[in-house]
Amino acid sequence: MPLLTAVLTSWTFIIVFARMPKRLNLVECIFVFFISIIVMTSTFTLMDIDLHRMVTDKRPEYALAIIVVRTVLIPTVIMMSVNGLQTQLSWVAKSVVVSLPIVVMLGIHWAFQAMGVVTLQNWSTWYSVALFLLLTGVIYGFSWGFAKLRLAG
Amino acid sequence: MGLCKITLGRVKTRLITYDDKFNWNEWFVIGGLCLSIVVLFLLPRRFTLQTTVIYFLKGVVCGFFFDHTLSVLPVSFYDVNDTSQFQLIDFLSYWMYGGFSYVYFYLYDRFSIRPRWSPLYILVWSLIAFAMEWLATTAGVYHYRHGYKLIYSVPIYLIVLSSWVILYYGIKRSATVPYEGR
Repeated sequence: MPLLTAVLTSWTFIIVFARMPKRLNLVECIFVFFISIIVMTSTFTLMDIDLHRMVTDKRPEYALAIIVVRTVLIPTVIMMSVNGLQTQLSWVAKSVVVSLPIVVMLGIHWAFQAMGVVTLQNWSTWYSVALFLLLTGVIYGFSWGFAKLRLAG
Repeated sequence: MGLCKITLGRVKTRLITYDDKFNWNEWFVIGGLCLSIVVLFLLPRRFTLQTTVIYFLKGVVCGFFFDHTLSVLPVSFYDVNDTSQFQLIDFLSYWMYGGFSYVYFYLYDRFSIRPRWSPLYILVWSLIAFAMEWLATTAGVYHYRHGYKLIYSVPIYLIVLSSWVILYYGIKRSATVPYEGR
C-alpha cells in the first residue's frame, strides 16, 4: 500500500507538472531536480542511519516507497513550486506556491507515520516542519543562484 | 571489522566498522575530489555555465542515487568508506564523480561523437568506470556485501552512461528550440 500510494501520488504530480506552463528552461528544471535529490537523500539518510530520529522501516515495499518519495515526488513538487515562482502572480498566490512543497512533505510525513513506514524517535512534528522549511529554503536559494548563471553566460 | 546490532524499523541491522583511521580510502576520495576540481577549471570552456554545472552534477547525483538505493537496506549491496553509517567523507566522495561526468560530456561534445558511435563510446567509458571502481575498492572506498561483485557494476554503468547520452541530446536540442516552443 505505501508503495502504490507513493507511486500514484508521484505520477499525479508528474502529470500536473507536464501540463503546467514552464517558465524554467530544461537545464534549470534539471538543476532543481538534481539539487533536490542531493539535499533530500543526504538529510534523510543522516536523520535515519546516523541520528536515528526519523527511522524508516527497511522492508522492501516500505524502502521502495521512501526512495520514490525522496527521488521523484519531493523533487517534482519542488520543481513545480520553483517554476510557479517565476510567473507573474500576486504575493498571496506566490505564498501558496512557496508553501506547496512543505504542505506536501508534511502530508507524506503524516501518512507514512500513520502507515508505520516512518517512526519518530525523540523528535517532534514541529522539528519536521522546521526541517522541511529549511530544506526547501536551501533548494530555493540554490535555484535562485543557478538562474543568475543564465545572465553570466 | 567491528559489528554492532541495532533495530531500524522492524528489521534488525548491523552497523559495521571497517576501519577508523585516516588512510587510503580517505586519500583516494580527497585525491579524486581535487582531480575533479582541477579538470573542471583547467579544461577550456566549452558549454554555458548552467550546462557545465548540470554536466558536473549529473555524476554527483548518480553517486547519491545509487549509494542511497543499492547501498542501503533492504538490499545494502555495499558500504562506502569506513562504516555503514553516512559520514562526511561519504558525502565528499559523491562529488568526485562530478569530474568523471564532466569529462564524459566534454569529450563527447569535443569529438562530436555520432549516435552510431555512441555505444562504443559508452562501452569505453564503462570500462574506465569499472577500472576506477576497482581502484576505489582496492583503496577501501567500497566494501561489497550480500554477494555483490565488482563485475555486476558493468551493466549499471552501461545503462547509466547511455542515459547520460540521452541527457546530452536533450540539453543540446533544448538550446536550439525557441522558448515558446517548449
